[in-house]
Amino acid sequence: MAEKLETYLQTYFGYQAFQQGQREIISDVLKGHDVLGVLPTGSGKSLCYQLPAKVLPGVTIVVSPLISLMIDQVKQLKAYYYKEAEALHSFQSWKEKQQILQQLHTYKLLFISPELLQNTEVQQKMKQVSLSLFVIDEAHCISQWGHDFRPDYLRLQSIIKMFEETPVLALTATASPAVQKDIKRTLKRAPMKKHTYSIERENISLVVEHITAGEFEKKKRLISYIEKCPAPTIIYFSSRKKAEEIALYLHQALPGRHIAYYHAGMQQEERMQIQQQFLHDQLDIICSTSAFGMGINKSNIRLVVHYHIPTQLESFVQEIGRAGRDGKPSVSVVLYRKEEKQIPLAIIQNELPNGEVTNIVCRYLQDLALQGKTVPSYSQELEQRLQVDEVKWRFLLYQLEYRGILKESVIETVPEKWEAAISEITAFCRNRYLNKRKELWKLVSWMEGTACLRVGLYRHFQENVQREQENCCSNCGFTMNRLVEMKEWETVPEAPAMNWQEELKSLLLEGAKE
Amino acid sequence: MLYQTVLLHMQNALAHDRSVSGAYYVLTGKQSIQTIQDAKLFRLEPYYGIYRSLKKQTYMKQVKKLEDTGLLQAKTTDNHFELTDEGRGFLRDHGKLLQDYFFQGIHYHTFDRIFYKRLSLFVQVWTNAQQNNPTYIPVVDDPSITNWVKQKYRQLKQPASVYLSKLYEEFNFVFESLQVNEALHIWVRQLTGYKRIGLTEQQLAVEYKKSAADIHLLTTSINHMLLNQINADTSKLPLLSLIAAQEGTASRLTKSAQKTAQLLPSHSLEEIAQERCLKLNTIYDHIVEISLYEAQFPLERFVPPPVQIQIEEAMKQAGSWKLKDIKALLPEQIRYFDIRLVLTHVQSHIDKGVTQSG
Repeated sequence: MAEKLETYLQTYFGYQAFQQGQREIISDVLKGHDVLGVLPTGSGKSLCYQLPAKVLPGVTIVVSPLISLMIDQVKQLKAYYYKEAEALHSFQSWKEKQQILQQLHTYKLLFISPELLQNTEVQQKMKQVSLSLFVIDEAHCISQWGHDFRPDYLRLQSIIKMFEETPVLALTATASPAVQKDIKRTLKRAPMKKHTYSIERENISLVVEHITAGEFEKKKRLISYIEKCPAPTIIYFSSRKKAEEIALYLHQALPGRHIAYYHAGMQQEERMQIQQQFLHDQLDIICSTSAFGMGINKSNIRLVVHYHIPTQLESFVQEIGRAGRDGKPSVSVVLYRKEEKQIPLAIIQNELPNGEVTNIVCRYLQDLALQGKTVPSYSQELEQRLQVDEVKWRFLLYQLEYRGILKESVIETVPEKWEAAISEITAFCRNRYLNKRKELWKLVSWMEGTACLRVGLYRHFQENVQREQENCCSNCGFTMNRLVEMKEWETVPEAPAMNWQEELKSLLLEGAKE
Repeated sequence: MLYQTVLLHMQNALAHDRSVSGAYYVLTGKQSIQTIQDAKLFRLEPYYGIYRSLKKQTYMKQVKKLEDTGLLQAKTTDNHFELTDEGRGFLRDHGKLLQDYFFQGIHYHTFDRIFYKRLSLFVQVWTNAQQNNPTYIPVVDDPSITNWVKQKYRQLKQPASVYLSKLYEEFNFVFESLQVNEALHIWVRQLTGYKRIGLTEQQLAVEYKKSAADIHLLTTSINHMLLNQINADTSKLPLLSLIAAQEGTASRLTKSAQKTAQLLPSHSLEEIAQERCLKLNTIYDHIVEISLYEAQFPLERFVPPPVQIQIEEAMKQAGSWKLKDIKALLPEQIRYFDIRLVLTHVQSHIDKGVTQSG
């Protein structure tokens, strides 16, 4: 078996050796165990199900939280000889979905969005084929304490129960011990085999720079870092608008560099183009929201800047983990203004419905119940009428369903039950907000502290942290100058100016010359 | 600049008779008889559907900008705009752009993207094949395009380098006669090849200091010029002709109008409405649509010649293409339907006159 795994790796993926953790997880999966795998970003998490899917006889289902990420993954797999992969999601037309479901048995790997798993027709089809493995990617989304909780993930519980015979593999990059416990509890698959690996990245130096003046100062500092480290860079922002604005600003300030922005508001094809340009070293700087990075396999990113801070340590660790996957020295820089704590705080506040919205939506549904009407699907009209966005709407529906007030379309009419549910949901949201705020304060106090940043960051996730590292962090005396002295950077060379004739020739005929 | 010029040109043509939305519907290629007819009546066929992704909000912002810069002014009628003297001056100064950048929206508005996507995919497939690189992510998602290209690719059995040289020659043959070097450069830089990912419209807009709308229109214009040349010079452009092939000449009629057209020789309009369970007014719309595209349209069958003359007289008297104005001058029993058909008929005769004398 042991040698066999290496052979599979070689034949199907062309790799010589497993990375840390892969072999252990894969071998337990192939033995039919339920497994929880916690592996750092960039350590080849997806191989842990891609390889078993190839080897196992039936279909492997992968639940994945982001549709765009899912589409990207399938594209990449297909580009690299993995043709038996497909994605099933709500952006597809009814016809496309039908075609995929008809051919379900011919796939090895089917990615599916959690809300589609609730569809009874999809469940029926899944029952008709033989399932080899059930994978829950980004499993921290299950946990209400995770940084990226998704109500749809909670409903996986019932699905997992429906397919009792199929082993489960839950994977995540960052999960504090509390989140790990939550994942195991929610999946109700005791005893799961647990494999956790250190998420500490020793080659990433940590810098927190305190900006005391205004935003102008921040932009100036940003430019100075980019100039010191002329290499592939990601800059994170908390808003699309800011990402676009700073991209344009940098473009004007640094004419020799290749800069683009990236966010979920762009067309799918456009986003793919930007990603691919970055991978092919045509771009060196991406100004992005948190939408960028998941599933990006670029090994030579040297600098990750947080122009805005995220809402908690877990997202932060994920985002900086995209730097230096080749193991070479890289840097994470946070440009921090105390006043800007308000930004993540506002994001947290707006994540879940507040008491008022909860009340409005519930009263509206209660009225429908009294009139004997069914639950409408989300529409623009609904948005305007109730002032509720789709995520919050779905969240509330789930909460009501969970409390037995809503079932498919049957609505509870007993007023006392509604009152109880409304106050429970309001309390739940309030609780979650308080918890998130606590997580935000952890991040803030980490940044504002004067102790070693490395120890302060990773001790939230594991017991052992490498101390007394060279080039450790800004609190241990690391400055960019030290890194600059030892590193040769790779920037995108300035392209020679061409006219259309030369451009066309180089595009179509260049290869023939070689 | 191109976008502004196109907008002013369209607004100039429509100002007296249509609200500001009229030009928007033409630009986005709205599938309504009214819009198609407008495009014909006001000689805006070239611009029909050349900017299908344009959002109403973005469009209105641009109109506002033209108003703020004093090129357009609001008329007393709701949502009607006309050119100011400056606006007309601008149009005179930049009118040449509309000659350099040729559009044929009414002909190519549905096919131009298909053609362009096939072309991009072929360039990507061939340049990678030439380098023996099988691992890349296709720039085109649309399965109807990828399947088409896959099928043709299998039929073309020579080495990729042969097709790439041919493509190079054919592009040069078409492009060398065009006077739009910058636009051609922009067009080429959007294509993806081996380890060379094309730029997005947004990126090009920043680099060339143009609006994204300009980049979009320049690109569309190059596609239209290419398609036009391919249709005119098929024998000299065999490879491009193959890529631009349209299997089973796609009808320009909407699907529903096609069904009506099939029933038309043997059924009355009322019978068609009954058989198809549609309102009679919908069938009227279909007939007007058919009359737009059908050279041998039997106008007398629907509007007796004396009524045709009456309507033409009323048009002259009204001095406008506005249906309402014309209708007001006619007896009650003459329907909007009759007027619309006669308008289309008259317009197509003006067209013929123009082409014959020109």
